Amino acid sequence: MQVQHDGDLEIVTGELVTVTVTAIKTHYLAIFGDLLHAEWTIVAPVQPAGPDRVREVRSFVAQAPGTEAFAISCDFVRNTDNQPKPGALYEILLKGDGPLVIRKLILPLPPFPAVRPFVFEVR
Amino acid sequence: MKRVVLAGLCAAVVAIAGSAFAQGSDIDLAILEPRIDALKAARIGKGVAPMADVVDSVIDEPAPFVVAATADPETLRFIIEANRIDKQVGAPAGAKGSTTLVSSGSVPRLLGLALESGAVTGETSGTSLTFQTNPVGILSALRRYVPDRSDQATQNTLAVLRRISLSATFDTSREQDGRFTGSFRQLSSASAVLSLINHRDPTDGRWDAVWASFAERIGKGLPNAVRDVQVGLEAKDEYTSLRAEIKTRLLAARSDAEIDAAVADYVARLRPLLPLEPAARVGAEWMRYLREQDAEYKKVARSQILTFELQVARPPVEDASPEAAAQAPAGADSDLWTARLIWVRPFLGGSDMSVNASASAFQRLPQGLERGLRDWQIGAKLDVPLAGVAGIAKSQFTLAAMYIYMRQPPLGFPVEVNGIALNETGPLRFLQARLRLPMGDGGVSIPLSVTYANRPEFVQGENEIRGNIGLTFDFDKLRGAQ
Repeated sequence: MQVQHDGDLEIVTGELVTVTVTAIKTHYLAIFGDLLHAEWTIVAPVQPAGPDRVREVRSFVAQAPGTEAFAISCDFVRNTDNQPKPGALYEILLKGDGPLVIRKLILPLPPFPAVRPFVFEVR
Repeated sequence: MKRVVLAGLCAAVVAIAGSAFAQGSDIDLAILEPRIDALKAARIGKGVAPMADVVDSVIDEPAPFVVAATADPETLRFIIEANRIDKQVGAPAGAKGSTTLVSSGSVPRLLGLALESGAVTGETSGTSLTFQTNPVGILSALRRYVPDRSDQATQNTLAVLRRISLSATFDTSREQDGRFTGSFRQLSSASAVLSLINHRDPTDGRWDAVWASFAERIGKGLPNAVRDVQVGLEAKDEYTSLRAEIKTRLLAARSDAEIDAAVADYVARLRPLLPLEPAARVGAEWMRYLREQDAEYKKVARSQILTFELQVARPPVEDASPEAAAQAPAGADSDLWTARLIWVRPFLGGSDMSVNASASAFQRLPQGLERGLRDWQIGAKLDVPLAGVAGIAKSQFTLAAMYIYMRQPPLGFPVEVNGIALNETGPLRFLQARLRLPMGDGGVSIPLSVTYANRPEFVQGENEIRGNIGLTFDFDKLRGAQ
């Protein structure tokens, strides 16, 4: 996986991309959307990953050259003051076959849910 | 009254936020207000994350921009309002102006005209003006002055403090011109509420299964719609350059006005680039998501609660004007203390049951009265939502029962039942069945009620049982219909 000069993500056909979503100080309400061309493989189902952390890991293999894309919806359960827990956020890590790891944060900024798309150029 | 206040508040928030950024444009940016605020806070180092992360979150989560640029006003309003929670607020059941027969016992946090600091909420009813707060609300308001500590120990302490609620009710009619002054003379009651059992916090760990089930059930419609929008956008060179330009402008912003301008510019220039079909799907799927989620929040909000309330009511003669004192009953010069226990829990199906028990006593025993309680009472209420009875729209059936024993005369603190003051000593048995039938979706409903009481004055002219047909308007719905 590489980052192009305009910030877009680039992967190659056959590359294994692993996506790790960690919910920190919030109920796990991350929903993986479908991939355009590939299929998700669940590497690790939703499970605790330490104090106040829940994690899910999925992967896919890039198909033919073109565009691959998916989006993840991340929600924050609010208390009776309509506030997420202090410190609540999601961390999304994307890793291909190479050493590069893309780290994105989903912050508790209304309106909810936050939906983060990822678009890849497949070469 | 509460609905009118709420509807007015929501409309005002939308109008103010929208007008601030959409001058000269038909784009409503109210939905982006929290994100714009987050950018402004991050710019001065007080955000939830560094500015780069906030800019990344705001710009690379396109859904709010998509609906701001393309959605109809109804969709926008729905998404904005679905991010709120409202609760009942009001004077305690015995205070003048209260319309509650059997209190529902919920401790409200945000409702009515929230005062600027957010530490206190307030509401008017009749000539009563109630202010309510809890220690957590005050601490939250102080966060702008003191460091925010979000460690677990602090959160545990806040969870305990959140169980306490304090309120003060002022009766503006206690002064001649009827204006609210906040003087001690206008203070009619004060109360403290302690929540003994309350699992209505949706973030409580006991609701893990509810949210896990929701996540499994809700489907991928929303993320798939956003994915399709993004794929459509990324196919256009103008989008890539626009996004880069706006990110640069936000990161370099030296004032709030520059942030406002960059966001407004982004939405306006994004609009013609959006692929129409998936953009429309984002709004529709977002609404569907929030509707389903609202049902889960409502389930949590119906879990049982047990609260204890201690209230002191001040007689109108205490420190009152000569005019008010002259109208007060003889001997009405003592505070009245009331302790009340309220239990609310789901009953059969979608119905809710409330049970109240209370006792009152004068602080200084008026002359000629025996020692002991002034009154004690127990009441129960069952609210049953009825879906489509006899082909009519959704209805609400309420069964309320109350037993009051007045040992002493009220002496300035009348107990109101069904809007009628109980002024004489002795027992009162009261039973009322009420069916509220909405007529279409226009906010008009017809309440049908049957009332039994052992005292004729509580059935208004009938001997023991009275039937009643009325007409009510839900101004919230009328406003929505416009």
